[in-house]
Amino acid sequence: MAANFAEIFEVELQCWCYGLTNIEDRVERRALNEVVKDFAPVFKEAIENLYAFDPIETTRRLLTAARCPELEKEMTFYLLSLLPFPTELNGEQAKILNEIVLKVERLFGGAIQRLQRKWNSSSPARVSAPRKARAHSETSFENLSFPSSLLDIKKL
Amino acid sequence: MPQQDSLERGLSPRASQQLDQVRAGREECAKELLAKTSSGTVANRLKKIANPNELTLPPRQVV
Repeated sequence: MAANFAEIFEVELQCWCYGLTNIEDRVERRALNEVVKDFAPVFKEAIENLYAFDPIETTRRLLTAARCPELEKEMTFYLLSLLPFPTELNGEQAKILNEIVLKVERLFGGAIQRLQRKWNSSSPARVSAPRKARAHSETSFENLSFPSSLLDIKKL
Repeated sequence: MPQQDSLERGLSPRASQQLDQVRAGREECAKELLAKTSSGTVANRLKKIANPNELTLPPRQVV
């Protein structure tokens, strides 16, 4: 399933990159944000299909196409902020989310903390009640292998 | 009316125009790739990218 989705993810990324190279001058930051936001449903789909895409490589390719390589860290964190909440995922999918976040944590640091803050402060209103209930029964933050010093599971 | 949609998102006219160009380029790329693709799953995805406003029906279930 993950192998199949890798191909889909690749064509999605290729098409966005091609679109970005179409812009003659420098792409504005806000336009780039919107591109990443438009791309976000595919991030969720990738996780649901157990494909741990590389968020750093994804951002790099988009930014290279947009000729804005200096925004790498900012855009990578923006991408992370658009990932689904762990409570929307089952155990296997939460592990994939974990893998994706850890890639950014290893390179930049602070990724886990930022996401943890976001997850603690807001709830995914878009999750329907039955789905949310099911997700809670199947998934817990214990499924994520974030360092326990950063992830205070008991608070959740 | 994609540009209207972009403006509604609070983008500057320039950013809005760029976003529309990016989306148009994305669709164009999907059409080009579609012509060279044989894989069914990827082709379906490319069709979806190439025609974002087209409604896709779920596969019919065989009872």
